[in-house]
Amino acid sequence: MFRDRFANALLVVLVVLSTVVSAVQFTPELFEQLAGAKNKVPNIPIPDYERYVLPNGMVVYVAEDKRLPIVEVKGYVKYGLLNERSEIAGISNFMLDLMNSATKNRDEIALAEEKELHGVSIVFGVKPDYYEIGASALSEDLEALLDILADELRNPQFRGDNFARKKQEHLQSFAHAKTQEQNLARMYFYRALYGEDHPYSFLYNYDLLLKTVSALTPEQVEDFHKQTITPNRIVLVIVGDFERETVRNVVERYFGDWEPTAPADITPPRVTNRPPYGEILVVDRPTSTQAYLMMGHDLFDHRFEGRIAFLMANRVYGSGMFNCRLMKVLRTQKGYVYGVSAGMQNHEVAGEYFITTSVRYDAIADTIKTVVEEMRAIKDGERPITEEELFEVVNLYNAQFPNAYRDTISILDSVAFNAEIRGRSPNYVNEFIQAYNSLTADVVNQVFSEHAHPDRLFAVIVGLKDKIVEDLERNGYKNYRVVSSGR
Amino acid sequence: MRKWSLLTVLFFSLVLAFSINLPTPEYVHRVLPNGLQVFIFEDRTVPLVKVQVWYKVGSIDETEGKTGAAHLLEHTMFNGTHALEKGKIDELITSVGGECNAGTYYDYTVYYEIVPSAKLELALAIEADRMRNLKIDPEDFYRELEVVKQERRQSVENNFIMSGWEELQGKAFRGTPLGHHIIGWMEDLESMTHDYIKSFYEMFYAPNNAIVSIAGDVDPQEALELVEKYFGEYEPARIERPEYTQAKIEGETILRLPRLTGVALMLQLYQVPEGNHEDIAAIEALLDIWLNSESSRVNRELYYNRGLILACGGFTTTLRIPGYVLVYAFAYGEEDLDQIKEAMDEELEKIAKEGVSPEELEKVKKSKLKQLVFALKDIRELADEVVLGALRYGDPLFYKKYIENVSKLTEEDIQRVARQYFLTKNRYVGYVVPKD
Repeated sequence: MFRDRFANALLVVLVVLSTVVSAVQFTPELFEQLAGAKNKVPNIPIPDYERYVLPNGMVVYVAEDKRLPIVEVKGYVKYGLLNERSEIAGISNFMLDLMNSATKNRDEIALAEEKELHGVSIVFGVKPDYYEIGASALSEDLEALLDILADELRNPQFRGDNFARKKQEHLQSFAHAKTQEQNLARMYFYRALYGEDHPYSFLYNYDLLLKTVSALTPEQVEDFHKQTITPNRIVLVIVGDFERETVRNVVERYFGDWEPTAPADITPPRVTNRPPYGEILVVDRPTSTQAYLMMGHDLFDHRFEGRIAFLMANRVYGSGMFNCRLMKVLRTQKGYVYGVSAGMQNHEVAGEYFITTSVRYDAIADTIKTVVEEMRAIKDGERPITEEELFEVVNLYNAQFPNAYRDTISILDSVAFNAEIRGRSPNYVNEFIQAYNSLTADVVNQVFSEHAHPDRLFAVIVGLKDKIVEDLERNGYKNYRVVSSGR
Repeated sequence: MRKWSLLTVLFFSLVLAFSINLPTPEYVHRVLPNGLQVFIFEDRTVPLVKVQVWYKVGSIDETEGKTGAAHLLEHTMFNGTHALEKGKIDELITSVGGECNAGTYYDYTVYYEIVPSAKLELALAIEADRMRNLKIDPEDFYRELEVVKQERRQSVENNFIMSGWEELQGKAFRGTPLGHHIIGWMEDLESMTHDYIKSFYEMFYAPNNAIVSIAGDVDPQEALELVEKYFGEYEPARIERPEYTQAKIEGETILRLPRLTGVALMLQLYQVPEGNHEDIAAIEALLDIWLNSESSRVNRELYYNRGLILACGGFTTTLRIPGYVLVYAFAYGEEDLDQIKEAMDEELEKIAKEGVSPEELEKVKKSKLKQLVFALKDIRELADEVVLGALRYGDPLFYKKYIENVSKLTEEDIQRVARQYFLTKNRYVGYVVPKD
């Protein structure tokens, strides 16, 4: 009660104290006057760094950054999923999980405790063309960080008690993934896109993973580790509050005597699959209160010279932001979806283009139609990307790019990734900026027109099959096939 | 022109708390005569500025039958004002290379723009305009309502964790501000009207219920003058909040919640005090030792030794009203959940009776210190903590107090909160299990 009275009294005082300020008239003209800006083309300052190669082939990038007492590590092990074959699909994720849980020198609990005492975090990830490493600690724990990271990379324990438990965990996660909308969509989409035999489809092929991971043995994982985690395929990026010389000594101490166990390079398998262009696969998932839609087709690999032009065109078509064409129609105009976006991935030997959204059942067919029509409108030149639309995307990139590279680790990571993994210039980030700034709407339209194929889009729709089929049938779609989520 | 007397506050130094040398960022805090608070964090790292307007209104301020109003209003705020037609806010912000969005939580709603620093005035003008001049066109409103319903289907109904959590929380806190999730119940959304949202807006969107936060490449003096120019004329409003009743959870209630899932999940809800209560630091430390850390008591027993769980954890939802802790464990199957619950209770009892080791406490403090130091990488992250302290507790330096509380934690504190908040077993337990 007292509090209420006090609040009311305060309110009166605030009103009395309120100063008379000339009122701003909010008008469309005011806002137009305040907007309208062409942002400067940014330049990302490449930090002073050192690159050296250990005698065993491991590449190390080091830069000092003394603003905070921290150390951060990023890293790559070349080839990622490309190391796998269909009979051992899933082994990469399984191996990395085991590596990060126990070593020959530290059992599971000892490893966990040591990391916690030193505030050391380590994560590994599997990507189509490489494995990722991420690690961090306070700079006072630099030595512990590199000691533990080296131990996990070099001496993982694959014959401990954890092998069976981890296997059970992975199998359970695959079985669970098969009950979830997005995972189901990805499984059928990537299987159709790359074919069941290509490693790029393995990550989400839960049916396959359930078979292969359950059959893995410690010997197989040990052998796979020798074949893949070898210093001559590793790139480490280390940034933080230290002296370079100190880091060099610590790196040499923990990694210097590690002998390569496999050749530095492999020949990646080519993609030979032809996706089911134009088809619709309906995956029955009971209880879904809406449908999850994934459409797409194959695309070029990361070397394609029109990649940046296509990327810019796709921002206009389906960046997922409110100003992209798909959002304007499907969310703002029609209110069908909460979000919709189109994305592209360009890997070492192939690429993919995809559109994803969740949509209510009575709007599925119209959503598919819209996705196709909006793509076709650009491709056929009916409503090409305008200079204004391109400017908006370029202007956004110019403004926000520095934000993505605001810390030293992000910049040096980009240098190392482009130079060592993608075979580009170490200054690629700035070349990329120059490249998108030099594009014209004509070029962007031409590249999109050449490589976006509305007629090839195939779709995976997950949800209640009866409702999906009803909407497809009502709208004249006959080229669908229904499968149950249990296959 | 008015001369501003800038109140420059030295940001807390962590030297005292953890004996480590860190930079001490500064910020400017000013309260306009109409009650609007302004925080400015100068950071010249990149030529961008983040403008945020925080309103002290969230889903706890909704009334029975009108759940989801705060979040729906957040969506409606992008539908324009009398000067900004529908879609214009996004258009203007993206035209200058900026980004904008918003978020709704239990006890606040926040709008933000990240724009080139030269466009600070544009962002402030947009926020000022929609603070008091929102236009709610019925046709646009009901179309946006469909989008929100779609969001609910996507993020809650088709997500076994969220939908299980929502049902459990709904029953545990029925009839109280925490009795529904932020997005609201579908039946309430179905009956929501534009007139109601308009009244909700008029009640809560006022300068004396808001904080403007500016972080980035700005001159604080110039930024303050712009805030005064665009927001200074607004008059404060009388804010009437609903009565925040509190649930009385006594004893244990177990609910079976079948969902489409391939794993089983146990959820436990416990009540905890307001976020600025001094016990929160100890409660969070207890959760780390009991559940969250890789070598936590429960992980050792149920993950490493017995292989019964896939993962476990616990986190606080700390608010300006009493909040809750959600404890969870993922299991292989429903048949394991009873023994998992029992074993988790046993581990808690051991902590309450035998205490924790100095090493366990040291690990917690190390983890918090690391988290704090890494947060300093981006001033915007710290800015949010400062502003939230001001918004929730009227204390921008609340975060400093929290750090001090963590640094002073003792083993006895951990034992005490284990007994006081958890061992009583006044809780709701949900078994989210695979549907037949």
